[in-house]
Parts: sequence; structure tokens; C-alpha cells
Amino acid sequence: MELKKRGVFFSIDALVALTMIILVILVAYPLTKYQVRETNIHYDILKTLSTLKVGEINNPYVQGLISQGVINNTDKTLLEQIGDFYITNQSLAKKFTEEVLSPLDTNENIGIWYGNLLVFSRNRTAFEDARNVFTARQIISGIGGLNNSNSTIGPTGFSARAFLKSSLQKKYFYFGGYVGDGNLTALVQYTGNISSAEMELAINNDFDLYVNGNFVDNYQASPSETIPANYSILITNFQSGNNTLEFKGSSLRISGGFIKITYKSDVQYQQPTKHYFPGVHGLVNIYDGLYVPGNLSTMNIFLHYNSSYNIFMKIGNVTVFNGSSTGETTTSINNSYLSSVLNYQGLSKKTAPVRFALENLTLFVNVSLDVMSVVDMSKFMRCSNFDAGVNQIQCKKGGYIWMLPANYSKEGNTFLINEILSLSGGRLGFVGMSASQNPVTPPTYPLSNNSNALLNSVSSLSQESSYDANNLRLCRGVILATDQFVANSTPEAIKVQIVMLAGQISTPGCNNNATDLNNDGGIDSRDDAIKSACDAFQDHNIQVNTIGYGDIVDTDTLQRMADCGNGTFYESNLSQLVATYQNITNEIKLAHTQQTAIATGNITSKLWEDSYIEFDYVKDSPPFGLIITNEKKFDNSDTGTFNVSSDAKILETQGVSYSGPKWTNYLSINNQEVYNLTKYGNKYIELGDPYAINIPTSQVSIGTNIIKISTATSPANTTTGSANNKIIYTIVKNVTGYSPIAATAQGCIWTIQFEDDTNLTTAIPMNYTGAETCFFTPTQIFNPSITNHDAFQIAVFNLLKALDLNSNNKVDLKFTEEDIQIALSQLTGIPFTYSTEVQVRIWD
Amino acid sequence: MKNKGQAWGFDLFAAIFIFLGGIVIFYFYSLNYPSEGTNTLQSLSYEGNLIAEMLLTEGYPQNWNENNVVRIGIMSKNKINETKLEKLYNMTLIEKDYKKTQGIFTVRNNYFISPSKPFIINNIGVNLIGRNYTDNSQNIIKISRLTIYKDEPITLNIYIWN
Repeated sequence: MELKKRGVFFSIDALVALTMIILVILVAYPLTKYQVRETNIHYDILKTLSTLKVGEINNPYVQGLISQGVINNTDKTLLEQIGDFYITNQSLAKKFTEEVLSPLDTNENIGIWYGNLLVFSRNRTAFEDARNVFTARQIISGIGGLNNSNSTIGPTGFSARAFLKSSLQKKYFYFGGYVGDGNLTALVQYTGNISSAEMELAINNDFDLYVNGNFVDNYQASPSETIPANYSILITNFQSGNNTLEFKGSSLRISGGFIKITYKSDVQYQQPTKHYFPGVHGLVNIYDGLYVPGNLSTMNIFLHYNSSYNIFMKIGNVTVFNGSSTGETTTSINNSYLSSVLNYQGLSKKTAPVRFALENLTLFVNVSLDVMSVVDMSKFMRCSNFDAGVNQIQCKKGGYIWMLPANYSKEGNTFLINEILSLSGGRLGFVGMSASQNPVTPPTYPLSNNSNALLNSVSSLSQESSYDANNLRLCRGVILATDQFVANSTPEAIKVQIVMLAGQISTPGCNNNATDLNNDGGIDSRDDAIKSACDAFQDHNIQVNTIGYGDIVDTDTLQRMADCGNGTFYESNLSQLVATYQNITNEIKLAHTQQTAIATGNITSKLWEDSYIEFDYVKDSPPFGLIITNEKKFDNSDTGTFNVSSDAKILETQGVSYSGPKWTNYLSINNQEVYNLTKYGNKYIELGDPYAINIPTSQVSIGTNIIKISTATSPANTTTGSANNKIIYTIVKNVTGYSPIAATAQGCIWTIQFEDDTNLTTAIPMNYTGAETCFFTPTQIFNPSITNHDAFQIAVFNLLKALDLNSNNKVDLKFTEEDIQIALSQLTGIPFTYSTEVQVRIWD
Repeated sequence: MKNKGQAWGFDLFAAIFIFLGGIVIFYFYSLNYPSEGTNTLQSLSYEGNLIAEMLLTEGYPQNWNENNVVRIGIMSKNKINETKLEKLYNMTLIEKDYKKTQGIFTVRNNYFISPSKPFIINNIGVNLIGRNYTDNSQNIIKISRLTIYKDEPITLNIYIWN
């Protein structure tokens, strides 16, 4: 047994040892053979090219380039020379390398790369198919200076600076928020040579345009009063100085827009001191604005007009002129008067509405207006004081008023019919508020614009027999009127209820409510009446106005009804009932009247375009740098954004609003209020409407600015503006394009697209005679990372980029070929910073 | 009986394992061991590169001659030095000196150098320096290098043969 055990141990030992030996062999010994590349020809190529100098090489092609002047510096090595050509002329680099390496006789696959450019290759198999690649590398720097004839030794770099010595200026003539109605004129002033003229207008009809009395063209109306159209104007008839542009057509009105001219002038940016009115021949009806950029010190007004009817002018909410003429006349309003009636401080650095119009114009209510009158139909009249007696004699004897709602409501509602039906789109209906607990259909007349029928209906109210209700159920009157709207009105119509109540509310209610809405501890007919008004507004957008008269009127309920019905409660008495109805109709009209005037009769008036408001203030110092004006369309109907870069200073910012026949009532920048029409009054119809609202520069931030604009016909009737609104801003900027140190300074033939989509193709610098083309257009753009060797090209590109404020590859500032200047700094003897890696690769 | 059988089983197992191990070792050796032809070509290539590497140096001493040469290099300032080239050429003309160059290059096989453009030595165009191959030559290897001769890039082909 001992022997056997020893034998087993011996076998296991041997087995373990053998296993270890085999494992070592398996791990250590290579399974495949590795081929070792033994050629060093790629190193030879680098050494040869970096040893031989251009002036030494015995090569006819190279000597030809030297004699032609293509190569100026013969002290450069072949490697450097190829590098120069790689930067300046890559096809020449390839040809040159091919020529100097023509004696290379090898079966190896060889390629020479400068950066990413393959300048030479001799191969049997493609590099992309290589299994093994062996590379010799060398960094070269200091290449460049090819065109510098003064430089024969050492690298030379170039640095360029591109700038505009001058530029074309833009000038805007802004129309007001509404200018009408008739033939219109505008005075456009400039000094210099005009380059282009264009208009952006929201205009109601087709028109002929005349410039300085010369017919230019016929233009079509804009798509709508809130969507402007753009028009280009032939500049042939423009002249330096004053230019009169006449718009002739049928009852023209411009609800926002501008004339923009581009011109060359020695006169740089000037802050405005005059605001010219547009001329109107027809029905003078101007809604405009006035902005004084600084602290207003003096103001004068010059008016040139002809109107036998009264014309008035209002700045803010102050009437500064009211008069008429018997022919063409001029009027000056001096500073002493204006300073006495106007708050100059309030006009400083703010846009104020300016209204200039004929008095007593009929203005247009361009809405569908449905009004239901809920009429008190109390059968039993009573004394205003219950304790005074039960009949009229006793009541009057006691000194109280015998209440006769029917008679007075007849008078009030007759007035209502005439007022509402005088409006375009106005309809009226009645509901008698009289049904007893046992439902009896009260007298009802549906919404109608039939004046006679309505008047007849009201007239019948005078017969006391029609008063058939024993109990006054206010809630039922409101509900029935609401039902009328639901049955006969349209969703877009303005819906108004006028609920008239004499005295107190009687019971019972309408069982339409389970809440104590007046907090009196119970649920009764009063709560039902309030609920019916709430439902009318909340469910059907019906405004509920209430009128209560008599000294025992339930004012609390009527007030609550008006509050919940988004209306107004009017407390009245018998003698004032008609006047109260008038107040209500005035408010309704005011809330929905627009700026459009309707001519009644043969009214003709004229305001000449040389009428102006002149103002003086402390002006800022003239800005230094390039002045660039840019337009940025709103992002949507209420918001627009624009950016001011940190290297720019803002000079002017205007939010222009295509409000159509409505008023621009609010503008804010970065949530800060800039313009609020309500500060000048709630009756917008009496106020002006600026098209361009200036934003003080102090409120404009570096970076992104957000502007919001809204429009309205009244403070309670606000809507968003137009998506065609714009921000027009002017900045001053030191715009210079620099290049880094580059190999050459030759130039290019540039094609540049401007923001107005016109193009300029010019050689920059002007003496450039080469054929290289460069582009700064949205479709094709110079790429400095590819063509990065020419100082002129890079400097011009950087200049153009700086002039492209909105980065759309269009230059925002227009200029001519004479404007662009290039200055060159030649850096002789300074090591040119450009370098690249040369790789010689062989592969199999 | 059981114990005897067990001992025999272990022995057999060990024997089989040793046998298989031997087969594996033989397989790997036979796979990786170069053939005689490959060996020869590698040897020629190696020697060709030795010659090329040494030739494309300045040699030692810098101004060497056939008597004091330690390393044969024909370059000066990265270009072929015509004087050194001529000295090499002259050495290869004499059998004894040719053998000496082989010794300096540390090669056993014959060699010759052929430029892509003839060398001009003593106003004569020379296309070959060294010992040209014969009809009996069996193996020949060409090593190509690029260098500068008379201010012109040339390809220097080094042939080595046996």
C-alpha cells in the first residue's frame, strides 16, 4: 500500500509540472508572425524636403517658378515652399511636390499630407484599404509671406483691419396709428444722395403714388388694416432736401406704416427736433404720437390747414388747438401758450398720443352689438314712500314721488332704440320683467334692427293694460333676456343687458340658485336675481348693467348683479332715467368705437404736410461709430424680442404697432411699462394713437429685450396686437474687422447680401485683380476655417459678421464699395504663427 | 486488485497527457518556425538595411578613407558627398577592399548600389557601385532610399544578393 501511494503522488507531480510547462509555452510563444516594416523611405522624404532649398534644387520646374516670380524667397526649404503653396495655392502645392519628387522610385505606397490636405501620393493600394500605416511627422511653422516682394529672408505675416469709412444712412418717416381719410401726403427730408426708398403700409385702398408731383406707380392696398404691405419706390424723382410724397386714391387711410429711405450723406445721426404731420385732404382724422427724446424745454406748433369746420388738436389729453378757417391758413402756437397748458415734464422721454381731427366726426362702431333691455313692468304703481299712502294724491301730498315706471321706461327705451340702431351692427330687444308666480309670458320683443317695430313695441307699453304682472320677478327678466341672446345672437356679437328696476324686488324667486349670494342669511329672490346675472356673464359672456331708481330701490341686489355681470350699476331717479340710458349707450359706444370716420355730407378739409410740432431739449452728444438701424418683426401677435450686443450702444428704439382701427394702448419692455394710453384717459376716442412708440434708451438692456404690445378700443376691451408689429432700433457701434496674422494679404471679389436682399459685388480691396470669389449671403458664406490664409479676406469677413446683427448672413448696414476700407499691417520678421503638421505615410 | 488498477490508470493518463503536450509543442513550433527561404530573405533584407543605414550617414571618421574607415557613410549635411562616394566606388573596385566594405557593413552577402540617376564619378556616369549579381544568384533584395545628390532628390537602391 505504501508503494502504491508513492506511485500516485509521483504521477500527479509529473502531471502538474507538465501542465505548467505547456501553459507557459502557449502563453509565451507567438501564434502569428508579425511582419516588421524595414523601410525608412518616409523619413528620407522628410529629410530630403527639409534639407534642399528652393534656390538650390536642380529642377527646371522649380527654377521656372523662381524666374516667373511665383517663388520669391529661394532660401526656403522645399518643405516650407510646399507649405506656402499649401496655404496660398493648393493645386500649385501638389504640382510642385510632384515635380520635386519625380525621381522617387519605389514600390512603396507613399502619401504626403499637409494638415488634412494630401499634396502628393504614389501608391498601388488605396490608403483607405491600408492594413499597416507607418508615419513620419514634422511640424512646420513660419510659412507665409509669399506676396511680400520686400521679404527675402524669414517668415512674414500680414494683419489687416477692415472698416467702413462711411455708410448709407436710413431715415424713417412714420405715419400715425391712423391717418385718414382722403388723399394723403408725407414730407420726406434728407440731405445727400438717395440710394433706395421703400414703404411699409397698412392702407385700405389701392393708390397712386406721386413723388414731387411726378407719378411713380399704382400700388395695391395692403392685405388688411393690421397686415402691412411692402412697396419699393423708384428714386428717380427724389431730390436732396424736401420731398413730397402724395398718395391718391379713394378715401385712403393708413393705419400704421412708414416710408424708409436709404441715402448717403455727410451729415451723421441727428436727434429729432420736429415732428411733421402727414397731410390729409378729405376728412382730416389723424391719430398720431409725439416723442421728445430728452427733457422738453420749448415747444412750438405750426399748422397749415383749410377747414370751414372746427379742427382740434390734442396732445396727450390736452386740447392745444381748436379752430376753423375760411380758406388756406397757417397758425402758430407758441411756447408760452403750450407751456401753460401742457406738462412738459410729462411729455419728456415719453410717447404721448396726438390727435388732430375734425370735430363732430361720426366714428365707426365696427362690431355686432346686441342689447336686451329688461323693462320694469310693474302693474301697480306706488309711492316712493310706502307709509305716505296708497294712491298718487296721498303720495304727492306727502311730498313723495308717485312711481310710474312704465311711462319713464318708455321714454328711456325709445332713446335706447335710436342710439343702438344708429350704430352699424346694432340690434335691440325687450323683455318685460313682470311675470307672476304663475308663469305668464311677459311682453317680449326679440333682438331686431327694425326701428319702427321696436318703437311700436315700446309705444304699446304706455297702455296700462299691458302691465299684467302682480309681482315683479327680476330674476325671470334677466333669464328671459339671456334666453333671447342664446336664441338669436351670434358668438362674436357684443352682448349687453340693461336691467331697469323701479323699487324693490318682490318674491317669489326663480328657483335657479341655492346659495346665499348677498350674505343676508337666507336664499330668496334677491339671490336668484344675482345668480341670473352671474350666469348670463359667466355662461354667455353677456354684460349685465343695472339701473335702479326710486328712493326705496334695492341697490344692494342691483350692485351685486352688475358686479357679477361685468357691468355697471347706475342709480337714478325718474327725471334722470333717460340720461342714465344715455350714459350707458355712450359707454357701450365708447368701448367699441374705432378710429374710422364716416363722412356725412360734403365735408372737405385739408391739412398740409408741412405742419409740424417743433420741440427743443437737451440733446446727447453725437455718437461715435457706425450707426446701424435694424428692424425685427414680432415673434407673435403680442411679443417681440431683439438683442443688443455688449459692444453696441442703443440710440433709438421704437415698437411699431399695426393696431388697425384700434388704439395701441400698452407697450412694455422687459415687463416695464413704457406706454399706457389709459394714463391719458379712458375715452380712447378722444386720444391719439401713435404707430411708433419710442422706448427710452435707459429701459433697453444689453442682451435680449422683450417687448409686448396690446391694442384696445377701450380700457375694458383689450386684445393682442398684430404679428406684423416690429421693433425698429438704432445702435451705434465701433465696427471693425481684424484678421489674425495671416500668410497673405491679397483680397477677394466679394458678393454681399444686405438685409433688404440687394447684393453688392465688389473687389475688396478695390485694387484686387485676382479671380478669387468670397460670399456673405444666406446661401453661400465665406468660411474662415477653410480659407484662413488671407488677411484681407478674414478682416472683411469679420467686419461683415459684425454688421450682421441678427446673424442671418445678411448685412444690416448698407454701404457701397467706396465705403469699405482696408488697412494692412505688415509684420516683417515676426515669426508667422501659422503652422501645420506634415506627415509622410507609407502603408501596405 | 483495485489499487493496482488505479496506479495503472494514473500512469496511462499521464502518458497520454505528455503525448498530447508533445503534439501541441510540435504544432506551434512548426507553425512559427520560418522556412529556410524566408530566413534567407529576412537575412538579406536585414543586411540591405544595414548597408542603407550606414551609407546614409557621414561615416567615421568624418573624412574617412579606405585605410582608416570605421563606418562607411557617403553623406555630408544630408546630401551625398561626392568625395566619399568616389572613395566607396574605388573600394568596391578592388576585391580585397570590397570584402572590407562587406566587413564594415557587417554583411555576408554581396551588394551593389544603384542610383535612380547615374552618379558622376571622374566624369563617368556610374550606375552601379559594388558587386553586381550573376546568373548563379539565387536571392536578391532591393532597399530603396531617397537622398540628395547634386542638389537633386534621387532614389538610392541598395541591392543585396547571394
